[in-house]
Amino acid sequence: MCLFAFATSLPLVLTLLAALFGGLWGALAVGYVTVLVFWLDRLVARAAGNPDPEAEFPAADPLLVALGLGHFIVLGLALAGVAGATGLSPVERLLLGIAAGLVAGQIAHPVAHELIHRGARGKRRLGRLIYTSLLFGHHASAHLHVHHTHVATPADPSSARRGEGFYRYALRAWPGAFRAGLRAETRRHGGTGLRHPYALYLGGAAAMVAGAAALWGWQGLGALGFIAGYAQVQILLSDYVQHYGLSRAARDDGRYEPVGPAHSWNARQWYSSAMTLNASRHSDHHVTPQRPYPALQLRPDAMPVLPQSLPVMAVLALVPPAWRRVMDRRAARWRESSGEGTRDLAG
Amino acid sequence: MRLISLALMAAYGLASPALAEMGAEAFDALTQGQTFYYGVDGAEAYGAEEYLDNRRVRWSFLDGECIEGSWYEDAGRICFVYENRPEPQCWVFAQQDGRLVARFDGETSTTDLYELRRSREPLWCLGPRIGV
Repeated sequence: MCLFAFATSLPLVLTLLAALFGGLWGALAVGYVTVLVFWLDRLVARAAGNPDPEAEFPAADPLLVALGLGHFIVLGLALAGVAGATGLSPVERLLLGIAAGLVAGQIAHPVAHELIHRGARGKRRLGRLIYTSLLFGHHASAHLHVHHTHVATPADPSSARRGEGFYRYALRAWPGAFRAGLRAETRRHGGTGLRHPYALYLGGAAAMVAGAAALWGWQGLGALGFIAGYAQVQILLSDYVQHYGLSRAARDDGRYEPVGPAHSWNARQWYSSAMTLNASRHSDHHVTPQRPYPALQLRPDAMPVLPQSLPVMAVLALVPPAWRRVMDRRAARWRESSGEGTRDLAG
Repeated sequence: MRLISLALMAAYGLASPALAEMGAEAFDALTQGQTFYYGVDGAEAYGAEEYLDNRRVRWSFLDGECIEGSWYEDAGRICFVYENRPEPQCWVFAQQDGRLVARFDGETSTTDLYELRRSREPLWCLGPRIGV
């Protein structure tokens, strides 16, 4: 638990300092999330162990809530700083914007993701508010009601098909998930109205935009667009990487086989895993979504494992031909072992 | 409908007859205002669900503890969301020989749950966590 707390809160603190004081802090925050994490993953040998899946982690949820609340403080200060309202130099503003975007995509996203899976209503609401503050509220609905129930089938807009490059995927997945989440919530809540979660997502996003414009004018809008846009690209990248090219076999009755370990990509790297609250142990999350992040299991013999850490693979995904060269063969192997390949031959 | 670790004996490749899935209207018309007791065919009920108006439900493992939830239709499945569990749990419902059969999403017929009886009586619920 200490490792999770340390790895997640340090970049948040560095970004906070960058917003308050500028100077070297911005470079340190950006360097931490990128270069330092990369080298810690590589140079420090640390076996990826499995915790007792039944163990209790009483500090897990308080850390989520603290990081979730911290996100709003850092986001607010970063918006002011990037918008130029606090007298930072252009370079300091740029570094702060990058740091704030990275922290939103690499830490606030995993925090919000854990929160929307919690049983308590207040925690779920905090998770939704985090996504809403990044103008991406619909992700909270689409993730639970579409992604989890349809993952690795054509009905999930957030599962990347084989051969699909990231940019094509992003243009399809963003509106696809928005609409599919809207349909699911409308069915659930019986039409529209203020109880509809999309009222919160759209109203909250409008409030963020109006607030940034009122406080800091065009500069504020630019700052919000940069930080939220950068965070959204990272969220899309992690969804892309985590299910690329994997599919559940269709059965004779027209339904799909149950979600299993073979339907998500995982990563072993210890430090980026800690910083993203075990987002890299994605198969176990889909098989047992109730399991809190410190207890997630990694079984490389039974799960697809990425050749590099999640952040490195996300960077690779920005170059589709290179991505396909590394990933297509690996994905094909897993499709065959999970029964999908035999079906391809028969068809 | 709530699934806890049913012994998943799902033998893959076993022929699994497709269920003639029920849609939202038919499911609502059949269940509303009643309590259904579910279990493996021929065994004791493992849980029961009371179906209320507005597609609200109350589930219990028959231990006096009840949780509230609601359901909606999604791609021929009836998906339940409970207050303490945000991920939907989707089932295919069908009628067989005058009783309800439920198959958890993606599973085969080996794990089907059957309606063992239905009743107009509300579910037996203690207050929230009394004496525990």
